[in-house]
This record gives sequence, C-alpha cells and structure tokens, in this order.
Amino acid sequence: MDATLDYAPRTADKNWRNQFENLIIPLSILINQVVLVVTLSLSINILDLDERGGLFALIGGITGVDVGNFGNLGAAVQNFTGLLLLTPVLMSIYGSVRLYFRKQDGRYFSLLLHFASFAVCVVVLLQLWGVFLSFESVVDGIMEMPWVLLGIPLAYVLFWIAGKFSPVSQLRAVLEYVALGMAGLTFIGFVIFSDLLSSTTLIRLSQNFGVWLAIAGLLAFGIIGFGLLRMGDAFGETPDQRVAWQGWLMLSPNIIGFTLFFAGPLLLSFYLSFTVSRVGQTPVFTGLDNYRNITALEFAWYDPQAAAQPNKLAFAYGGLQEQFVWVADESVRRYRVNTVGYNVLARWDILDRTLYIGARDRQFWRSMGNTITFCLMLVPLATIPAVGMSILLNSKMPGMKFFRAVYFLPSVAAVVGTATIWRWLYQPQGFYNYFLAEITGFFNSVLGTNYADPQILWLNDPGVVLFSIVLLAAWQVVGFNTVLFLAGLQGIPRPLYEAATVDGAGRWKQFWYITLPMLRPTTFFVLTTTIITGLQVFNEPYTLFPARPIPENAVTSVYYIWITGFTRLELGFGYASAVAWLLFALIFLVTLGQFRVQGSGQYD
Amino acid sequence: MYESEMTRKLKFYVVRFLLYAALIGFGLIMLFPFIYMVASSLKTSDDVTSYPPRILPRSPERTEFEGEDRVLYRVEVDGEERLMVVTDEQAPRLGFFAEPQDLNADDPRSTPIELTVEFDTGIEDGTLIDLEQEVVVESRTGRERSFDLYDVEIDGEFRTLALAFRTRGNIFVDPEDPTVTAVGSVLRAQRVEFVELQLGNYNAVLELDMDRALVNTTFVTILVVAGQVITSIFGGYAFSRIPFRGRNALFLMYLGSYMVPFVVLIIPMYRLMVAIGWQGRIVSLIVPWVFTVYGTFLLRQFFMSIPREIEEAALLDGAGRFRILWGIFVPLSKPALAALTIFSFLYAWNSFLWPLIIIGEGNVDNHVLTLSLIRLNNAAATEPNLALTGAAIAILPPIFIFILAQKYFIEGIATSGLKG
Repeated sequence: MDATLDYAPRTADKNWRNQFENLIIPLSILINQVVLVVTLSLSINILDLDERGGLFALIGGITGVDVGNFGNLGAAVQNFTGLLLLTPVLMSIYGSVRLYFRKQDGRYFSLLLHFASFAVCVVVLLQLWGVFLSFESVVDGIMEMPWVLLGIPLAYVLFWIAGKFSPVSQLRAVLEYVALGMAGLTFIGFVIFSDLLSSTTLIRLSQNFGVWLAIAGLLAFGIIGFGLLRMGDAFGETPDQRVAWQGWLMLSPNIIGFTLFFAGPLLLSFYLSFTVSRVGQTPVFTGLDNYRNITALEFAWYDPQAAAQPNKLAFAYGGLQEQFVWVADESVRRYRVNTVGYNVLARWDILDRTLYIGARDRQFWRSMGNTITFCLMLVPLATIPAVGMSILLNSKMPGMKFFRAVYFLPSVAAVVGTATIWRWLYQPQGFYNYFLAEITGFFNSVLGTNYADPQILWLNDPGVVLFSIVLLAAWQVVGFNTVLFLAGLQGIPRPLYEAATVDGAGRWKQFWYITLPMLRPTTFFVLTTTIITGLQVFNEPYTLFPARPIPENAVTSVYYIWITGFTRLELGFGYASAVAWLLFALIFLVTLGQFRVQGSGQYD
Repeated sequence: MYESEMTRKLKFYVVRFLLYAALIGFGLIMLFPFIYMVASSLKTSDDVTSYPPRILPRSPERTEFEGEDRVLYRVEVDGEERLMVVTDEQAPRLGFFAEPQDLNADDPRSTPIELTVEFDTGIEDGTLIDLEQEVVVESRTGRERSFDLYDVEIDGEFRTLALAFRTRGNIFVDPEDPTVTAVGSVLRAQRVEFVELQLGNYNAVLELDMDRALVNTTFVTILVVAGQVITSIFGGYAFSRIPFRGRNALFLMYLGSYMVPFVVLIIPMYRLMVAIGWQGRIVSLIVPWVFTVYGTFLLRQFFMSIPREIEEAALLDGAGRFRILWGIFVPLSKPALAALTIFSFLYAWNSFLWPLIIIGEGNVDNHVLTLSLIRLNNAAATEPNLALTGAAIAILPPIFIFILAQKYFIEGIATSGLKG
C-alpha cells in the first residue's frame, strides 16, 4: 500500500522512465554489437588473419595498434592477446541473445561489457588527452611555484582543527569547506601546471577524431550502462544479486589492477623465461634452454698424470671423458665442454684425487650461494636480539614505548639511505674501525694482552663484504622483528603465568615452558618474513658498492637478475626471467614450509 | 630465607639499572648511524673523513696572514705550542720514518710515525743512511708494498727504520710573530678547530637536482597513497562484507599474489612500460602502484571487526552500500586507515628497485630521492658530507611521519604482521 502511495504523485515521471527503459534494452544490444565489431576487428587485426585489408582491419587500424612488432613482445604474446580479445566477442553474442529474451544473465554480461568498455573509453580519453604523461609538467610547475604544495598539509591541518569542534558546530562545517576548497585549489593548480586545460591542448584535442569517438563511447556506455543497471526490478533481481554486483563493482579497480599489473606480467614473465629475449628484439622460444644453461653442472675428476702431458685430457668422468678439454695449464681456471664454457665452481680433494665441479653459469651459483649464506647469517642476527629486546620491552617499566619507537626507526628509513650511511661508517678510517681499535686497545690495556687492531676492510676484503651487508640488513630489520615479538608476547594469556607461579615455577622455567612455546607462531612468522626479505636483498649491495662490477661475494640473486636483465645485453630478459623464477621457486618453498608448520587458519 | 628490605630494594635497583643499561645500549646501536648521518650532513668534507672520526662538526680556525685567509695549525716550536699558518714558501722534502712492524701497507700515511726528518739534508750530512734494503709488507687486499730501510741518527745513535712516506714539507709561521718559523707537513699537523654547523650542505645538495627529486618523490607519494587508500577501502569492504559467489576463491588468489616476489615481475613490467611508452616517465611510478594487496588485506581485517549490527541497522534504513561504506565504515576505521596511509607512504617514498629500472640513473629530471641519492653517493668520493646530507633528506621525512603516527603504525604491524 505504502509503495503505491509513494509512487502515485510521480506517474508522469514513471511513464517517461518506462519509455526510457523500453529503449534501454535495444540500445544495450546495439552497443553490444559495437563492442563485438570493434573487438573482433581488433582481434583479427592482432592475429593478422586478413593480410591487413578489409573492413575489420580498417576498424582495427583506427585504434592505432601497431601489429608490426606488437611492443616487441613476439608472436606468442600477440596471438594470446588476439585470442583473449575473442572473449568479449563471445560475451557480446551470448549477452545480446540472452538480453533479447530478458534473461538476467544476459543483463549481467551486457553490464560487464558496458562497464569494461566505459573504462576503456576513459583510459583512451585520458591517454589521448595526455594526462598520463603530464606529470612531468606538473612537477615543472611545482618547481617554479613550490608553495602550491603547501595546500595539501594546510588542508589537512584545517581538517584536523575542524575535527576538534563538536559535530554540530557551525565553525566546523565552515572549516571543513575551507579545507576542501584548499585541497581543490591545489588540485586545480596541478591541472593548470599540467598544461591539460590550455587552449592549444584543447584545440589539438578537438581536431582529434579519436577523442570524439572516446567521448561518444564514454557517454553511450555510461548512460546506457547506468540505465541497464537501474533496471534490476524488471529482471526480477534478488537482493543477493544486487549486493553481488555491487561487490564486483567495488572490487573492479583492484581486479583491473591485479590483471594488468600482476597476473598479466606474471604470465609474460613465465613465457619470457622460456625464450631468448634481448633489448629491441622479439623473443624467440627456446624451451628449457635458459633453465638448462643456468643450472647446468658438470662433475669431473682431475687426473694429474694426464695433466702433466701437454694438450691431453686431464679430466675423466664416465662417459663425459671426451667432452672435457684441458685449457689452462696449472691453475685450472677454465675447461670446455664442446663449445660451451664451464667455469670451476668448486673443487674437493677426495683421497688423492680432486673432484672439480664446473658450472655453465658460475655467477648464478655463486649468487645463490651468497644469498643463502646471507640468509643463514641474517636470521640469527635479526631474530635473537629481537627476542631479547622484546622481553625487555614487555616489562612494565616506564619509557618502554620510547625504546620501542627508537628500535623501530631503522625499519622506516629507505635502505638506499641507510646503506649510504653505513658505507661511510664502514670506511677503513671510519667509525666502526675506530670503535674496534678503541675496544681492542681497551682490552689490551686491561688484560695486558697484545691483540692487533683488527682494521677490517669492510667493503674491500672479499671474505668480509657479505658479512658487512648482513650487519646492515640485520640492523635495519631487527627493530621490526622486535615489535612482532612484542605483539606475540602481549598475546600470551596472563593466567598461564599466574598458574605457573602458583605451581612454583621460576622465571627461567616460565620462559622455557610458557613463553617460548607460546611464541612459536610468531617465531615462525618472523623467521619466514626475515628469510623471504633476505632472499630478495638488492638495495644494500647496490648502494654499498658504487663501483661496478661489485665484489663477487656481494652479488645476491636479485642483483644477479638485475645484472643479467638490464646490464648484460647478451643474456637479456629471457635469461633474467628464468633466474627470477628459480628464485621464486626457492621463496615459494619457504612460504610453503611456513604454511605447513603454521596451518592455514591464520587469516580468519 | 627472608631478604631484608634493604637487599630487596638494592636488588630491585640493580636489576632496573642493568635492564635500562641494556635498553639504552641497544638503542644507541640503533640510533648511532642516524646520529652520524645528521652530524656528518653538517660537516665539511674534510671533517667527515678525518681520523680519529668525531661526531661534532668542526671547522678550522682561520686567520688573515699576508692578505690571505689561512688555516691555523697547532705546531710545537722549541717545546712551546704555537698557533701557526702555512706560508707559500717552498720547504724541503720530509721523510716520515716508522718501525718496520708498524708499517701500514694499505695507507702508509696513517702509519704511526717514529721520526720526521728533513730528507735531503739528512742524506747530505750523513744522519740518514740508505741501507738499499727493502721491507715488504702485505696489505689486507693481498697486494704487496715495499718500503726502503734507512739508518737514522737519533741523539747520536743510529736506528734502522723504514721510510713510510715522503712528502714536500711546509713552512709554518706564527702570524703574530713572523720571525718564528717551523718546518713540518700539513698532513700531520693539527688544525685549530671550533664547532660549526655547515647548514649550507642542505642547500648545496638541493641545488644538485635533489630539489626536483624531492618534489617528484612528494608528488608520486601523495598520488600513490591516495590511490592505494581508495582502492583498498573498496576492495577491503567488498572482501569483508559483501557476499558473492567466488569471493573467497578470488580473495585467496589475491592473497597468494603476495607471495610472488617483485623480481619476477620487474622484467615483464619493464617490457609493458616500454610497450605503452611509459618508460622513464613519472606515471610509471604511480599508476601501477595504486593497487595494493597489503592494504586491501589490512582493511578487510579491520572491517571484519566492525559489528554487523551497525551495518544492518543502516541497511534497514535504506542506505546503499556505498553510503554505508563512506558514512560508517570509513569514519570507524581511522586507525587502520592511518596505518595504511603510513605504510603506503613508506612504500612509495622508499622504493628503489622499480625507479632504478624504469627511470634509470641517467634520467635526472625524473629522479626520485633514492635514485638521486645513488647519484650523489657515486660522486661522493670527495664529498661524503653531501652524500650524507642527501641521505638525511631522504630519511628524515619518513622518520618524522613515524614519530607523529607511531601508535597507528606499530599497531598496524602487530595486527596484520605484514609490512608494506
């Protein structure tokens, strides 16, 4: 009854709406066909099926997709994208047919298409307008008038002050409007700097056919899509369904970002790892070659008698005998298998013979070894002090919050910055050596011993460089771990300790039988995060050693990926991707270990 | 069995003292590099590399002599300490002699010196005899360096010493009494110094294109933080409060992506940016990074803790989901939003690997602070004070933000256990 009453005064309005709704469905089907034609022609164009002619190619050509090299990504990616573009084609056919028969799923498919097309139109418009590449001009403007940036903190301060007044006070509302205006003015300042609203830009835009097309698409998909969205009742939309599309809508930015900047690149990375891909060249699929080249190892026994004779085989190992050719005379630096060089990775003396291990990519194994050694040293240094300090911080003494903040400071600083500081502390004449000299001197004078001043060459001694990185990384991460342990400690129920005290357990026993077992989940979590961040260390070696190449013992896995991908052009992106996937496999194993230990219920 | 009141109190204070000592000691370890950074950023470049190293920034005392501004040195003349300046006059060569076991092959100039002799006069009048022998010392890097051995006369007796290094000497003169002169080397003379802060370092560094890097970083950070907060609010709400088919599978996938290390993505992301023409542009530092698994997860966890009753009441009143989100959830989630803002801020402000790859060390105009700092650091062999000033500019803003919003920050970590 109430409903009719509510609607009664708006009959005229409703008639208009009805007519509009009657129009919506055919219009919706129509723009579905537009999507169909555009995506199909794009797809055909990208798949290069029609020798670059015909109607579809013409329509596809308007969008300016350069199929010639396809961003230098290669035929496989090109075909994949082309096939992917058939999904909207199929959705459009299915959605249109179902929508014609007024089925709910037809409406949802059409809505999805409208929404996606709307988003594409927005992006195209922003791109043609030059919004994405206008940030530099904004910065230029700010450089000339830096005070514009003050608008943001000022607006924030005004909001903050407004928050101090009572919600009904007039002053609060005024202050909030002023703050909003301030933020808006700053934004307008940015837009003016960006040159996006200048007459030249607007004139240039108005002469661009693509801009008008994008605006038309924006309006069509926006209005018709919105109309279709509001027609839920006509299709018998249940509240659950309504809530569901709202959920998808809210998630859409994340889903788009996830697809474009995570899932897509992840797939591409996986594909690239099976190719040879260099700067300016399209990738060539080579199967498992990259992985084989990276990991290939050869084992060989060194035969001193054969080595004594010049130009004779010095290595013999099963069927590989013929393959090893003696190259160097005495130092055994290199030997060859056919044409691919192997480098000596390690050698072991076993009884009176020597086993040589050769690696095709010695640097990869070295970097992996360095990374794992790094983690093995980092874990105790970054966790054991953290446990100790968190126990101290958990005491009820005054000032603990202050110390907690102090310990946490290194974690908020940029690694590049802290590494710069440590680089100068690590100098032969720097503070750390000075402290060591003073400490040695102090002990010598107290104990009457005569230990030499250690004079460590932190950044030059090949045996020390990795440890220098570990110290820096441990210093930076230990405060973070302390806070995690502290949270773990505070989560232990008090009654456990009270019961233990009643039972007569001493402090040490309480620590051993209550604290440590209760900290187990935190400990595993801390260990895993420490190991995972440790496996990805890059900034520290990059900053500590400005001279390139950096010492071999400081080359970590990620650093090696960077070298192969971005500095050694002969190896290129494919090779680097394969190394990255090997590192990922290692990290995945660590994470899996954590899940197995901890169970899976931790996220609810 | 019973302890006296005195011993108990004493024990209490001793334990307290030890605990605080440990806390302060550890705190000093954590703080020292920052203290060093700030102090060095206020020093002259010579002062940073002086040995023994010092914390307080000092400048050499100067005085005017013969119409020029000159540095004052502390020189001992006939057992009396005087403040002297170096003249422009040529002085004889000086030989610095040391016991052979004291020789420092890495840096001969820091060898503890036994005796300083005017080299050429010594050879002439026979107080210095070249033995034509060498002592070979191995440096720490494994290189060998040889030093010549000499017999040197000290108070009528000859001792065998090694020549650590030789250098052109300087003639010192007392500006107040120009008749008093002395021969020595500025390398080993002690300067007269006073504490002075070189605030100009900050200006100098900003003029080395760091001002632009600062604006770039601020700009990128603001946009990334705003973007991350907005996408996370929507994502977190949908994942926590809106039931729909496939939500949990989607969430698991989303969370699983957190396991993938960034290095796996850098190469395809780089190719993608090249393909769409964003390489080397500031936009590549912003748009791909406004989506965050971490933030979505953090807000989802927080939204889940908000009682359902509040939302249901609003729904009954006919409020739409978007109204509920902005009107109820966002105001209630201030601590979580604050934590997320700080995490995003740190993430954007401190990021390095991606800017390094996509902007590159050469493209100075689009540098962010971390890249700019690397540039300073590479050029800093002679000016460590500027590199450390750059580090201070990059590090101090996050530290201030952290101090202001410490509470939210640490709680954010404690509840989520994750870092941005």
